[in-house]
Formats: sequence, structure tokens, C-alpha cells
Amino acid sequence: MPDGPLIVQSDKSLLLEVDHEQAGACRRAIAPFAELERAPEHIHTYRLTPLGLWNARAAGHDAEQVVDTLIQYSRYPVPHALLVDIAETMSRYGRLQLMEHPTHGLVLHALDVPVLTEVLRSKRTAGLVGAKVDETTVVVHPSERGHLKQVLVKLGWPAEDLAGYVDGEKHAISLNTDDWSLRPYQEEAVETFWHGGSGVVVLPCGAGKTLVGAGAMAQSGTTTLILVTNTVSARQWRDELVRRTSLTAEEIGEYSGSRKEIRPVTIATYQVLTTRRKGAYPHLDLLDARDWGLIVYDEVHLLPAPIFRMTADLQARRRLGLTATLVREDGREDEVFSLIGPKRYDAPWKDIESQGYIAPADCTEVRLDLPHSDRMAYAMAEPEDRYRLAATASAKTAVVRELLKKHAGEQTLIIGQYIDQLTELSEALDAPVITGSTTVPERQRLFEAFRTGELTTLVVSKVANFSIDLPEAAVAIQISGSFGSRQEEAQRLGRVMRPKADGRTAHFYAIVTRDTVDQDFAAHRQRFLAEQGYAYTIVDAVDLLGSGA
Amino acid sequence: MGDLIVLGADPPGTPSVRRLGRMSIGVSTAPDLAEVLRSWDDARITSLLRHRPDLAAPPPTSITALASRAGARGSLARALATLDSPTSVVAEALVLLQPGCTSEAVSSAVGADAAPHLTILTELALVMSDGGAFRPVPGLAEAVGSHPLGLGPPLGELGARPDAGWPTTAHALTETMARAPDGARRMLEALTWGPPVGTVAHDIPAAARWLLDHHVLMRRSGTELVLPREVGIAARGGRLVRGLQAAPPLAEAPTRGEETVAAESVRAAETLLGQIDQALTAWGQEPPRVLRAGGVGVRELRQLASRIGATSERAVLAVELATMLGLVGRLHDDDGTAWAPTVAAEEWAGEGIGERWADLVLGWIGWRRTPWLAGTRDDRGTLRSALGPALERHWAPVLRRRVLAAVAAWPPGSAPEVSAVRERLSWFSARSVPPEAAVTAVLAEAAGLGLTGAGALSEAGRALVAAYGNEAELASPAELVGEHSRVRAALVEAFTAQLPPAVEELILQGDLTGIVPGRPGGVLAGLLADTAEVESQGAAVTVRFTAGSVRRALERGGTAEELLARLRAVSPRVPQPLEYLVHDTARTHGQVRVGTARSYVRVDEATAARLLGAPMLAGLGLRAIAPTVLIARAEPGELVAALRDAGANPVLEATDGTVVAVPVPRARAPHPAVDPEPETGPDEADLRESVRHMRAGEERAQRLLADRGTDVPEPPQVLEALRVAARSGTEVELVMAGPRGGSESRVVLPLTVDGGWVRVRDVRRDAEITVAPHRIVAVRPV
Repeated sequence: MPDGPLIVQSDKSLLLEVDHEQAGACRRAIAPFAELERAPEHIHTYRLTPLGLWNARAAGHDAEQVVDTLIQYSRYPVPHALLVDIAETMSRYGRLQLMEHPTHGLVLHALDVPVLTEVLRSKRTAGLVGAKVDETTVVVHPSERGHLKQVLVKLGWPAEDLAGYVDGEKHAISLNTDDWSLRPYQEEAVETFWHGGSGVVVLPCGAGKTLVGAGAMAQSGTTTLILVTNTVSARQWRDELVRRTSLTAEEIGEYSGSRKEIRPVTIATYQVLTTRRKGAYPHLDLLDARDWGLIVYDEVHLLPAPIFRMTADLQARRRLGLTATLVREDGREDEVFSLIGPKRYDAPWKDIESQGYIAPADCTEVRLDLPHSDRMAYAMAEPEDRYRLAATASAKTAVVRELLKKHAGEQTLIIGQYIDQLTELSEALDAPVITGSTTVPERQRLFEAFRTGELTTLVVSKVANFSIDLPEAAVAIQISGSFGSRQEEAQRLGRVMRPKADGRTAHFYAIVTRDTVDQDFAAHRQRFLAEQGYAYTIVDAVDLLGSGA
Repeated sequence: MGDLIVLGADPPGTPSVRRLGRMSIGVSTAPDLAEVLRSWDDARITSLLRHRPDLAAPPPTSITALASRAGARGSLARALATLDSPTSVVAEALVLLQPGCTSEAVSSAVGADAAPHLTILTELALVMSDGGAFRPVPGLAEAVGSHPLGLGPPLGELGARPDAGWPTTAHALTETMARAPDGARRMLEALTWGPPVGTVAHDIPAAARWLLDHHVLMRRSGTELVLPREVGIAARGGRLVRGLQAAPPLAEAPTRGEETVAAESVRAAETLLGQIDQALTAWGQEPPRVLRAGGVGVRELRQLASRIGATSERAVLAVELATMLGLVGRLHDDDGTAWAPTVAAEEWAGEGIGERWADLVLGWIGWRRTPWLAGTRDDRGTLRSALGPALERHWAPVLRRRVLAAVAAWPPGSAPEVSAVRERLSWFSARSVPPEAAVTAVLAEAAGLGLTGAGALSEAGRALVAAYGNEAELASPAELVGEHSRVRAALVEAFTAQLPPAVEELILQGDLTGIVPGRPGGVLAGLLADTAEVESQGAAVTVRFTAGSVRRALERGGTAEELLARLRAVSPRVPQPLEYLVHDTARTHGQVRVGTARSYVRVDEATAARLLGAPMLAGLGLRAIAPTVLIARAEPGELVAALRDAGANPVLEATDGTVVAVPVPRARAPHPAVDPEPETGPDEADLRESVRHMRAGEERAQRLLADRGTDVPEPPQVLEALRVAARSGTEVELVMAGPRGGSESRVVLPLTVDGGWVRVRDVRRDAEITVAPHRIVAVRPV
């Protein structure tokens, strides 16, 4: 015991020494209940949170197991108060249960009467529950199942949802595994999701989340509603499903701004669902248009707030959330937990990289000095304009040029936030640009050209952040971003992480203006990746330009 | 059995008490306490003074004065409060029993051997023994209160007719209750061992009505029902108590591993010491104002709490402890008074962790303050503020020692619950059980100080208890003054023995974090304090390097390379991003420069050159910091004078640039912290001296009463003599200064000597008169 790989801190963080011989076993043992917070090269930090512990309870682990695991692997005596707290927190889960009552329908059943009393006395549950059946049971309005679960998590008494799922309309789906098969971790993800009921699978960009979705659909064998971020992404899902499963193009419908098809498998965009007309959501009926057996949420960390509310009504259906990171910039991770489900599968990026399923990536931050005149302009600017000024510094063009020269012949994406900057750059580099206003056929033409190698450089705005499949992009250059968004940085790195045919290392560059808010935001953006083990090398633009000259 | 009060018709063996109650004790039959004390030798009186310290201060003037002080209600109550559970039961039983009963009678009434407890009570002058017959001192019954041993008043006192058929024997009561409804039985059960008084609403419930009708309860007022003493004793089966609890209770307690206890206690101590350091730093930078009523404001405390990353309660404890050690004191400046670290804080920072901890706990154990009361309100609704005067409690050090000693009674590794500790404490002082909140707070403080870990006493905590005696007789810090350095050394040793081995290795990572996989050693701790922000502290330490933290390190002096060299010395590899961060921060470091000057000179360039070259100005420390700006080490006034002598024509600028006349000098002086007043009690020699003094006083008083000498006695002796006479009911001749200047003499019986007035009965005129002591010329025996 004194030589264990784990150090348990009283602030509920767990430090795991990765080079320790028991590190692997320890990681597997703590993964069910501890959230991986950061995974740099030597010591990984996990954290115990109520959500994480409840996730573990939901997955069938009990407090004793958790405590034993910590004691078994800990190098030093485990703080006693922490053990008490774990037991206390875990015992809160499941004292309330949502279940189907033979005569009253959906009910909230308490194993502990005072807890039920406490919960019912809270203002938050008012209107969500109906009459009391008996001392331990209260009727729940079926439409409030999600909302109630959400409130119960906030009150600290998460309910165990035993009410089950509707089977949904049967529709046979199978995987075409003639020339490919699910990778072991994908299979594991599908498996744990399916046994858990509903929940979220966290995999790095490029690790094949779409296939996990397809696997879950094959497992379910029912009609499926897939919610994605945008139309391009919707088409890619369709293509991928047609290629990898027994589904034909006719069985898959697209429900977007341009088309409104409802088929056994329907792919809808978040945007169309959240469109409001005269205070109502005209497309909400889609959710009930068929008896869906499975609902897949792509990029669950981007799920807009209205979808949360709608999802609250879908609690009787099986839900799968897919994402690269559970980090939500709006801090609504607990709503994901209560409405989609607990995290069912998670794998550190570096692990999947080491298995060769995603390309190794080399991250570099290039720091650029503002010329004197720009520094004055920056110093005089209003705070709200400063980021834009710093991020769109014209000196960045020279650095981009230099980087392109360095990686000549490689498929390169230049990603930015500001259309003016992108347009200028596209003119300067003579490379096409894709923005929100580019038509879908034009986008697809350009993507195709990029895919075939006809085009080597493409300038894209944030429309390309998600779910565009550019298999051979080997270099990404980020010239500006959405302030300090960590998940955007992760998504963008994901653009270059699909495995390369020749196993090359991918390159990710962020060009940042020194001594400005650009640098501060960049530091924040990089935290998630740094914590996933992607250490940024920082170079000065002067050195880069100097070496190139 | 023969001497047990009045025996009833009950079978032998079950003592029944028929006529219990407060007996009026005739002066003629009972020995007087003063008489008893006069017969004691010096050693006994000294021991009495030691055990009832309130009798010793101020020293009584005579044995009679001692006796009257010892018989006063307040003093009796105080003495009762110090009794342990069995002794207290015996004292209360004695109040119930017929005066003059034997030790056997008491033993049989309480169902255990009462002799040792009677000895204690006698030695404490609560009980007088006269050839084996024991009687409580007058006033004890009153001090015990209206419900001795939880029994109600006797029937006689309640005004009940004794022949009304009260079931005053166990047998009779059993017979009566055999027909009682369940509710009535439950009600009687509740009243039997508990307080004997129950309250009902105006329409009396059926159960109570039944008990009233069957003469089990009596209605004392509209809503108050009482179980008469005789019936109560019958309900207890003829016994007064269930028995004596001979030994203090030791409830079951969970046990903790030795390693866990050591690790947690050290961790707690380190955390607290760290928080005190942080608090000192914070207040060094921004000293909070001292409130008008003393203390520190709630808002300032909240700010401090968030700055040191702790709860407000913890912040209060940290600054209170710092003040206790004299690390924080009052700083007076132009804006008023503020709390700020003292010079001692710097020495403290240089001490080893063991020494600092030992000082902390040694101060704490004798500390009169109760930080947990900060933020609560007193009876008038005034907020008690941290560092304010309202947190002083004289009992706090006693409670701390007792709580710690109580926890030490459990075997090593046990973590007793608060309730178990309190239960044990209450055995030692059955009539004054410390409030649960206070015990909880003291245990929380002990945990915070690392005297306990995971609820169990640590080895270092045990060392502290060892120095402060056992639970029953606790040494006060004053008695250990000579021992202080030895105890401190023992504590330092015990504490450092618990410390896990120090680690001098830092694991640096690409995300700009660093981890020390254990307790950082001195060098490493210093380096981290200088260069990084602590993110998580516990068994290991996680830090993050930021531009701010690196800048801070550079501000302490040294270059980027030196800083990196220090990091490389403790870390196998410094990642590129960190190296870059250090260099990049160093690059921007020092772009703005700040220095000190007492005064400045604004001139044109030519004059500047002339002034710098003038030999008569060399002593001013003039230096050019820009072509037209010179700075000087001299005060503005001095500079103006010197420049004037040198032929320049200077004027003086104020801070806003306007021209002013004279500079205002400002001086500051830190206020030395006031040392906590050491707790002092009288020592043995003092007590002996005080007994000698009493005997002398007694003798003088007796002489005065016996001897018609012509000496003019001193007023205290006169009063003493009157007091003695009042006690013994002796008539005396009182010579008083009359209203017209002459003196008059009366034969009087002194009644009371109290509050600056002497009340006497003039025997011949049969009238009570009150005399001011200054009018009394002499007292002579009749």
C-alpha cells in the first residue's frame, strides 16, 4: 500500500502517477467513479464529484467498492472525511426512484420518507408531481419526468429512473461489417451505453463517434432520431450510415431548414428544432412524429438550452449523447447528466492515440509581436474591440504563409473566427474560403476537392468546427477563435486527428498576438488539450520567420 | 437501618422515606460550620481553599468569615458544580435524608457505598460530620435546588393532607397503578426519573385526571402537575436513585488506524499554520480597521476567508490564534487603529513547523477566548466580533483541558463522538454539564490544530494531555510555568515524529502544473511559495505556474535563468512551455520601474547639471532620473533650505502640484502586541499564608469579644468580631459614635454584617437598628 500509484487529496482530487506499474489497473478501477480532469504527461488528475459518484451508483458500483479502491491504490492514508463524504454522497442516489405503478402510471417512490418530504416541500418540485398515492409514493406527470429528474439532481437527491423505456417502433438495422469492424473501444462504448440505458459517450474527435452511434442503432433495431449541429453534419451522418449499415438512402430522412423528411431514421438539426415562430416551436412535432426507439444527440456539449427543455419530455425514450468533451462553457454539465444520462464511456485522448486510432498531433503556439502602430491602436481600443483587434492582426498573414511553406504539399486548413480576416487571407493566399454564407453545394464541392487533394489549402470559418469529415487534413492553422472556448480548441484539433494513411504526425498551430487578450484567451483555450496531454510548444514568430528565411 | 430517617411499614431492605423534606436546623443542636472549620488543622483548610478557590480570593479575614463565605449560596453552587456524578448524587441524597444520618444510611439510600463521597463532601465543607452523623451545611438544600435527585416537594410542603390515601409505599403504588390506564402509566413513568413536574393544558387529559383522582399526582397550579416526593420515591421502588455510576462512562467509539490519525492530524496542523501565514500576509498588505467596540468587521473577515480559501469560522480561528501568539496587534496611524502583523510575526515565520505548532497548542490550551462565538449575538442583540472583547470566557481553558483529557481516556486510535465525550465530561461535573455547542467547538478546534486526526487523539495530542494531568485534577498552565520549555520540547518532538518524510522532488508537466508527490521539504516549499500558485494541498501538493506567479518570483530578485536553475535542481525535466513562460515573463518584467525618493527637483537641464555638480549639495543624495527631474534622499524641507543656500530659488510642491509651505512629517510605530495575561491561581505558599492570616483574624476577633480591653480596635477587626458574634448568637456591647459627637453604648445581638451595614438588635429596647461601620467605636463582651 505505501507504494500505490494514487494520491488522494482531501479536496477530492486524485493524483495518478502514470508511470507507476499499477497505474493501468488503478486507472481502470477509478474510472467508473472519478472524472478525469487532466491528463498531462506524468501525473493525471481525477476528481470525485457528486455527479461522478452518482454515475457510479447508476452503473451499479457501491460506496464500499469506491472506498476500497481508493484505499487499495492510495500511497498515503486516505483522508477520513473524504471517505465519509463518499459514502454519504453515494447513499443519496436512489433513495428516490421513478417507476411505473400498476394503477397510477409514473410515480416517484421513496425508500426514505423524510427525503420525499424534503423534496416535496421544495418550491422547485411544485407542479411537477401530483397527488400522493401513499406515504412513500407520489404521482408524477409523465411529461415532467425529465424536469423532475433535473430538479432532484439540483436538490441533491438524484432519482434512479426505473420506469424503463418505450420499445419504440421496430426497424431492423445492422452493421455492414464486410470491410471494417468496430474498434474495441467503440464496441465497449456501445456495450456500456446499452446496458446503462441512456447516457453519454465521450470520445476524442476523429475517434469515430458516428460509428458508436451506428452501433447503438444496430443494437436498438428501432426507428431513430438523430439530432446534429448543422446540415453539413447531417449529410455526413447520412452518408456514413448508408456506407456502414444496412440502411438505404430511402430509409434516412433529413429534417433541416431546406428539407422536411420524416423517415424511419431521421436526422434533424438543432437549429430547425429551435426555430421559433410566433413564440412557438413549429417543428417540435417531429419529436412525436414517430415512435422513436432511440434518440442520438451529436455534440452533446453544444446542445442548446431549448433542446434541454424539449428533451425533458423525451425521458421515456432511450437517449445517447456523443461528444469529445463534457466541458460545457455554460457549466450545464449537470443537466446533461439528468436529461441525457450519466457518462457511460470515456477514454483519454492519449490512450486512443497510443492505440493508433487517432493521429499523434503536435501542437504549437506561435507568438507574434504587434508592430508598434498596432500596439498603440490596441492600447487605445475599447475593451470589447480588443480581442478582435489582436486576433486579426495583419502580421498573422506572414506567419501563415511561412507555415504553409514549411508544410508545402500537406492538406492544410486555416481556421478563423472573423469573416473579414478570412476573406483577406483567402485573397492573399489564393485559397478558397468557406463561411456561413457559402451554399451547401459549393461547400460540398470544395470539401470534395480538398478530399481528393485537388485543393491543398482551405480557409474555413467556424461553420467547419463540427462534424465535417476531412480525412487527409494534416495541418491546421488557427488564426482566431471564439474567445477562450476550450471545446472549440478541442474540436479544431480534432480536424487533423483522423489517422493518416502513412501514420504521419498531424500539426496544429495557433497564431497568437503577444501581450494581448488574444494570448490570455489562447491560454484558456489550450487548457483542455494540455490537460489531455497535448503540450503546446511555444515559439516566437520572429524565430519562425527567421528560420524560414 | 435504625438510623434511617423514619422507617415505614415496608419490608426491611427497602428504605422508604415518609417524612422527607427540608428540615429546619436549630442553631443549638447542629454544629456551626465556623466551629467545625476552627477545629480543622491548617492542611485541611489549605486543601479546602485549593478545591474551592473562590473562598481564597480575596483572602478571608478570619475563620468565621471563611465559614460564612463557604456557606453562601453562590459558593455552595460553585462547589456543587465541581462534584462528579456519584458525589453529587450523595450530596443531593443527603439533602433529602434526615439530618444527622450515618454513612450506612446514606449508602443504603443510594444503593452503594457512600463513605468515600461523604469524605469528599466533608472536606469540601459541604457536609458536616459529627461523630459519624452527617448533615448538609445550611444552605446546601437551597443550592441543590427545588428538585433534589429529580424528586418533587414533599406532601407536607405541597399542603396535601397526608391521610388522603397517598400511595407512599412501593407496594401501595403498585396496587394503585395496577388499575391505571396505559396513558396514566406512561405519564407516571415519565415523571418518576425525570423532572417531577408536568404541564398540562387547561382541560386536563384523561390520564392525568386519573392520576390526580387516585392521589398519585398533585395539582400545584392551574396547569402544573407535580409528583409528590413520597410518591416519587415509591415509584422508584423505595430507592432514591438507580445506583451510583462509580466510574466515568466510556462509550463505544470507532477506531482509526495509527497512520490515518498521524497523517490527518499533521495535515490539519499544516493547513492551519498555512492559513495563519496567509492571514498574516493578507493583513500585512491590507490591515483591517479595529472596530470602535474592538474586534474586526464581518466584511473584512469574509474578505480574508475568501483570500485564504477557508470558511469564515476558520478565518476567525486563524486570526484569533495569531493574536493569541502576539503575531497580530494594533497599528495606530493617521486614519485610526488597524489590525496588523507585529514584528513577532517575522520571527514566527522563521521557526520550524514543530516549534510553531507547539507554541500554538500551548497557547491554545490555556486560552481564555472562544472564537466559535464570533458572529453570534449576545442577549442584547449585539454582535460578538472576532478579536473583540466579547469572546473572553474564563472557563474556556478549563473546558479545553477537560475535553482533551476526556478524549485521551479512550484507548489510542479511538474517535469518540461528541455526545460520548460530553457524557464523560458530565460524569465529572454532573451539575454543570458543558453545553454541547462548546464541546463540539472545542473538538473542532482540536481537530483544526491537529491534536486529533480523523477524530482520534494524535500522538502529539497525547503529549499535550500528558503534560496537563488527568481528567479529575487538571493542572493549570500557571502551575506548569517552570515546565514550559520541557513540555514544548516534548510537543515539538512528538509532532515532528508524525511528519511524513519530506520530498524534494517536483514533477513538472506541460500544462504548467507541478506536483510534489508528498510533503515538500524546506527548499522545495520555499521554491513553490516563491514561484507558483498552490492548487491543491494534502498528502501531495499540486501547483500551477502562471505569469503572475513567475512575475512574483522575479520580483523577489533573480533572473529567469536563476529561477529555471532552481526548478531544474528539483525537477528532472522542465517542460518547454514552462521555460517559455519564465523567459517571456522575464522579458516584460521591469518595463515599469519604481523607486524611492524623499523629494524631487524639477528644473531645466542646465540647472540640473549645475545642481548635480555643486559640492555643497553632495550630501542630499541628488540623482537625475530624467533630464529635467532630479530626486534626493533628503526631506523636502531640508532640500528646499539647501537649494536656497546654494542660490537656487525653490518653492515646495504638494502632491497635487500646488505650492505649499511646510512638509508634514509622518511617523508610524507598530503597537507591540499585548501578551495574553497568564492565568494565575494562588500557590501553596499563598494559601498557607492566607490560613495564617485567617487564624490571626479569628483570634483577634475572639479576643475582642472576650476581653474588655481599652485598645481602640481596627475597623476590620470590629466587623470580624461582630460577624463571629452574629454566628454564635452572642450578645455584645456596641460603642457607637453618637449623632452629637459623643459616644453611646448599647447591648446588642448582632444579626448580619453585610454590604457595608451592620444590623443589630438592641436587646434592652428590643428594636432592630442598622449601624454604619464607621460609626462603631468599639465592641466589647457583655
